[in-house]
Amino acid sequence: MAEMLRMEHVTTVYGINKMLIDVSIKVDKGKCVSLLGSNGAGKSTLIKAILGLVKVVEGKIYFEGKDIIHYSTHRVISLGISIAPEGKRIFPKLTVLENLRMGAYLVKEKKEIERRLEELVFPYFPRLKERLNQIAGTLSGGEQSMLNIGRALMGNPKLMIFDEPSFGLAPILIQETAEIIKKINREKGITVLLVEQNANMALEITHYGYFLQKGQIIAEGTPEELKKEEIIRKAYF
Amino acid sequence: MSSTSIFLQIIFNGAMLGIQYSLIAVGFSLFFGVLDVINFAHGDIFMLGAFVSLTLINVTGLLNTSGATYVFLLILVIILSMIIVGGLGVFFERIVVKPVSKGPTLMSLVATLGLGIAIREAVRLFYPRGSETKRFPELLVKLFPGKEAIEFKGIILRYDNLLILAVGIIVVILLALYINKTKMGLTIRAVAQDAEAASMMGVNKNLIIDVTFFIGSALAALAGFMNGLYYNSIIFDMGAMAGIVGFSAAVIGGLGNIYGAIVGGFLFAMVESLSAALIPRGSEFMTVIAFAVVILFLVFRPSGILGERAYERV
Repeated sequence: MAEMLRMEHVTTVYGINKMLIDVSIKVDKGKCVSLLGSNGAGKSTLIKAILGLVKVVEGKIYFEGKDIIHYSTHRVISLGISIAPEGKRIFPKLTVLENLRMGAYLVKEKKEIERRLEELVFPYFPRLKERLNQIAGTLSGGEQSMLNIGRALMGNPKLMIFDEPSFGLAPILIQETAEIIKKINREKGITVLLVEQNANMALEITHYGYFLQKGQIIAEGTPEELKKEEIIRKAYF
Repeated sequence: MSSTSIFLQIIFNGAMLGIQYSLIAVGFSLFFGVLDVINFAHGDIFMLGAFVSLTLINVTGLLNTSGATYVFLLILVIILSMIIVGGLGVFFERIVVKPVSKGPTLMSLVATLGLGIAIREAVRLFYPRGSETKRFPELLVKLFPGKEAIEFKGIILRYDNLLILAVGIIVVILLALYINKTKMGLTIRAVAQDAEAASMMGVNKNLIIDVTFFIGSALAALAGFMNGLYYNSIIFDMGAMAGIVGFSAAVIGGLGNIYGAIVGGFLFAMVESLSAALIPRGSEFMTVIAFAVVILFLVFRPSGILGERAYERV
């Protein structure tokens, strides 16, 4: 199976603390892979390492065979990676449409931007279509998280990274979000790396998972295998 | 002179200065937006604008030409001085302002103040007889020989001042269109709101910072040219006061908001102009009064006229 993203023995340092220690993960093309772990386990650091936002002192990161470890963030994105960042990292003073346009920043043709709006975003988020000219900061929390995902979809990525999509959402919205992530993966064929604290939700929709604790991968496997792991059962079930 | 015409003259004089202050203040707001830094060297960029345009007037031999050549060369001088000083602004941003912007606020404060002093002293030392006041020629008189000004409803309008007002208004409109209607403008706004999120969309942050410093510095250069034209004299330390006034105007308007900066610039100038005219010996105190207004703003509305209130930030 063709691989999309591979991290090999990655160690990062922040100040004197090692945030990730010898982390290796692999995301195959077309798959939906989850990265689980509690608060402070190093999940955000792992994403930052991929995006070139923290210093990797050891190890390698490959995207489609290319070593991307010294790439700056915008170059990593230009390879075909999109991210729906944690929290409400939408641009609060821009309109919904302007936010979505920023998601397709690397696209020059207006027609292509229109096409992506119609084919990638509106089918999943009809609500955003009704609110195109609204200032994004005035949307409800659920709508903002839709915009966050929609904006990342506008990049028409090969790999889409979701950073804590369930964070701060009501249970019913978590279920809705999980469905959308599943559809993005299964219908559009977009490879997904889902970083989540909510293991229940993540294991429901992913093909493979990694469990991160104190900066180290302590378990990995299919959802069925992971659910049997003692350490995860203790933490979650 | 009737009281209406006196009032009109005050407004007109205020607008002259207001457009200059606004163009400086816009730079402060733009830089604060994309780099979270207050660039105290910006006043000296304004001064460079005045000196570069004076140099270009001499080098091109503008004053020895006439007719269409004259108009062409005048436009060339204005645009070229904006491009040169814009480029210098990017250069200073790369070697001083951006490197210190990640450090503590105090560091960027000291570094940009130091940069300003370095620019100022460089002009004093290396410009021919740089410590003296330089005469800045009147420019539009050449096109209307024998008449220096026109009278309109009892107020006197110099041609050069009309040029300042016309160019200023056109540039402010172009700037607003650029920020609101173009992709680059959208990107600048996005970087100002969340630079890291913007880079996650594929934005090259450094490029946007360069563009922003080019625009801000070019606008300050234009203000420097206007200031020379308005007072007909320029001096190496003219940027010190202009920088403080421009910064204050940006603060009154709400730092980071370019429309606020424009409003703030005009407000500051109008207070100066009104106090010079209406208060006995007011011209001696006009700047003091204007800064008193700034202080009142800091006390009663610290986020500025158009600045966001705290709850909107959450």
